[in-house]
Amino acid sequence: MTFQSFEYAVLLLAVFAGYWFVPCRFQNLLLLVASYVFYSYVDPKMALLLGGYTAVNYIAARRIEADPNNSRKYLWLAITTSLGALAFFKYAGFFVESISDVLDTVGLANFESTLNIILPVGISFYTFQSLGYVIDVYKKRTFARRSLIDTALFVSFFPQLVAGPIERASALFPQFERRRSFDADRTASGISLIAWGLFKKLVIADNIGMIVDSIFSTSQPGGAILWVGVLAFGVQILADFSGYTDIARGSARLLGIELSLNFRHPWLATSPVDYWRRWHITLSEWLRDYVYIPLGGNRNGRYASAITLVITFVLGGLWHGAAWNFVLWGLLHAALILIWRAARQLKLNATTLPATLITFIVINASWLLFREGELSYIGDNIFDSTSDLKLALVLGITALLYSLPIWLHAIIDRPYFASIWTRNDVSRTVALTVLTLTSFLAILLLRADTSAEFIYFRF
Amino acid sequence: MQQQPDGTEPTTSANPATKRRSSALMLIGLILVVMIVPAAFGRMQAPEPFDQSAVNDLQSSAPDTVFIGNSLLDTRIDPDYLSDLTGTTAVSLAIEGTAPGVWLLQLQNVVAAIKNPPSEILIFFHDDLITRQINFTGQKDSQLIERLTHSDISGYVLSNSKEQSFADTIKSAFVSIYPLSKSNQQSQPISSIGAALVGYNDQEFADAAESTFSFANIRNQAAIIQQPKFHGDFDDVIDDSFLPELIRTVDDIGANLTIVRVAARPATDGSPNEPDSLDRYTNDLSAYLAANGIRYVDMIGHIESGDIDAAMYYDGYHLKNRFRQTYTEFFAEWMLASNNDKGTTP
Repeated sequence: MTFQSFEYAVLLLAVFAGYWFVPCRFQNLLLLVASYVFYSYVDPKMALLLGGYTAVNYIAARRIEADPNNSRKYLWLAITTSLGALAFFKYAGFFVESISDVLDTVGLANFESTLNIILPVGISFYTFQSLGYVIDVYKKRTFARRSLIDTALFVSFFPQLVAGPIERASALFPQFERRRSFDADRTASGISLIAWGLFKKLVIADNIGMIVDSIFSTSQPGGAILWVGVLAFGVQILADFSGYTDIARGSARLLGIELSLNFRHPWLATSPVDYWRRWHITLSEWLRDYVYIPLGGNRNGRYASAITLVITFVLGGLWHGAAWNFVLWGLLHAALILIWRAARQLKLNATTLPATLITFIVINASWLLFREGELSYIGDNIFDSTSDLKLALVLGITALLYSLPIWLHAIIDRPYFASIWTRNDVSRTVALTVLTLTSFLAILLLRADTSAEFIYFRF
Repeated sequence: MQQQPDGTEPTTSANPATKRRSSALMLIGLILVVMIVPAAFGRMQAPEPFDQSAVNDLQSSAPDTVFIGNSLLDTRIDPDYLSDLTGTTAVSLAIEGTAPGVWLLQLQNVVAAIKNPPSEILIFFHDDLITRQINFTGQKDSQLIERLTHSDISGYVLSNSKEQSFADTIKSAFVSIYPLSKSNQQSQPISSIGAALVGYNDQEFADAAESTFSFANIRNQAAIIQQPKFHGDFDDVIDDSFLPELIRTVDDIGANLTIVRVAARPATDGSPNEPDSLDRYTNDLSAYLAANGIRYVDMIGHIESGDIDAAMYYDGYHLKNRFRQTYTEFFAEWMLASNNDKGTTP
């Protein structure tokens, strides 16, 4: 069930209507049932996996707190079980294939992988979220919850189940535990956020996606058209993923739950480091807090820090998918940050506008490794000069035109403009109404012919 | 001051009840504006007129054989080459993404409307599409339906009345409330602006895009194997399907009808990608067509014999462009043979 589907609209409306009428003590139970219906919609067997994750992390967190002498043992139990399941579902095929390739290359064996494992939707997201909870209990940043319903809901809350934001226990549990009452202002902003998210997905991402798919489906598009495809993919993935996140946050807001911000205008980033503070923020922060800092962070000198950074980004790349192009993509981003650090040490500081422009170009170019898994295809096309340049120009301009609403949003979200439309309740309502109405009209008029699945659903 | 969960400061209001009331009123206002304003647009939009040029073009071709289907037909049969091979005039009316509802309209309003109708009509389908009660396999194009429909004919009503699911009813209601959604421009306005800025008109842009992104230039996606789709036992779906009406219409035209089921891409070991449920369905379909005197051709036999293999496929169903002529030759041989020996499979 995807957010742009008729089924999701029915589910959300039904949950919204029921949620504010049932007694408060049943609200979480209703959300839990809805979450399992949502997740089981395609394949009910997958709900068992979700239940398994809940059971393991619930028991581990409770035991860590109840039995401090053995808390480390229970922590590792949770880590190995959760990551083991993730490794099995997501990486087993990749490793078997890689081993087969290596053995084949050195002439030792030649076998074809027959593993055909279905990747459960959202497994990377709920693995990290539930692991974060257990680690936080171990580190005494939060306490183990007694309520199994609340814990199960924390793992499975449907708006953010399949593609985040990856929430922290300290942010989400207190919201499940407090009394929630209907708030018209919050509902209005939730509706607007959903409309804006749907606009980004159905109008920008899906239309741009057709251009991107056409380009990357062509055996020899030539260098110019390939680079236009990369630029267009940068627009598509931002609109797609941030659109998904807005729908998730808007849906949760209708239910009185506030999810974390996952994007903060990443195109305005002034450096690779700044970019990761603006793009997929909850994943960046998770990797920082649970991988980079525990491995030493910046504490052990420049070289150790660089190695830790590379490890973190390789893991971040692999988190997206079991493929070598994601590993390279992670390595590239680690390299960009290290180069930026070196440039800062050499006092090579650019002013804001050039820095933003350079970051935008470099980060967008890096999407080539993310979008295309076949390195020989990149090699064959990247410097190929046979592109139809006029067609490349039309496609490039089209991609830029589709990106205009995202730029416009980045501008009107700046404090000066935001202070105008949030001045009072009336101005705020007018702004939300204009945003929602414009989004709705644009969806009716400009939506793409077909709507593809959200890109991050496959991670 | 305590923050709201959404990060905003609660507004200081003298009376919380008044504040709640005004918030509720503003929420209702927002919902009403958003629901009502878009409904006002597009109401006067006239339907697309019937496309007489489709009839005229077919009439001028004077076809002996007409092929009907979607992109699966288009990637398999080259009508000009088939005409050369068979010495007859073959025309393909393939339209990408179409399904039996549209095919019926093509038969009723285009093929039946020409003065000398063809003697042979062949309909290509995959899996169980021939009995599915749909007009399109993917995104619906209501303007295509309008272009294929005379305003006074029952075909349009028929083709839509077949869609009975709750979701479709809701979607139809949505379209009638918001007619603007029917005039979906499929992203053309934006790409048209892009084209105009570099001095292209829409047609030049379409031609340039077609030249670069044509089917012949598409990368191999040999790893893709789609699971064939099955939507219910034959006996449960036949009465509500378009198939009886398709047979009646071809009978009225006075042509011979051949129903051709194309095979999905075989499994990696070369075996047919055919679940048992679909196997039972095709047996029932075959028996039904035989009882109605309709010729049925199932291309799955060529997967079993190895004549068509996985390498010929671009994806789960479409053939690679370079095998289009091979397939056409295959089919021409069968057509020539079947003129002498009815019942031979290609």
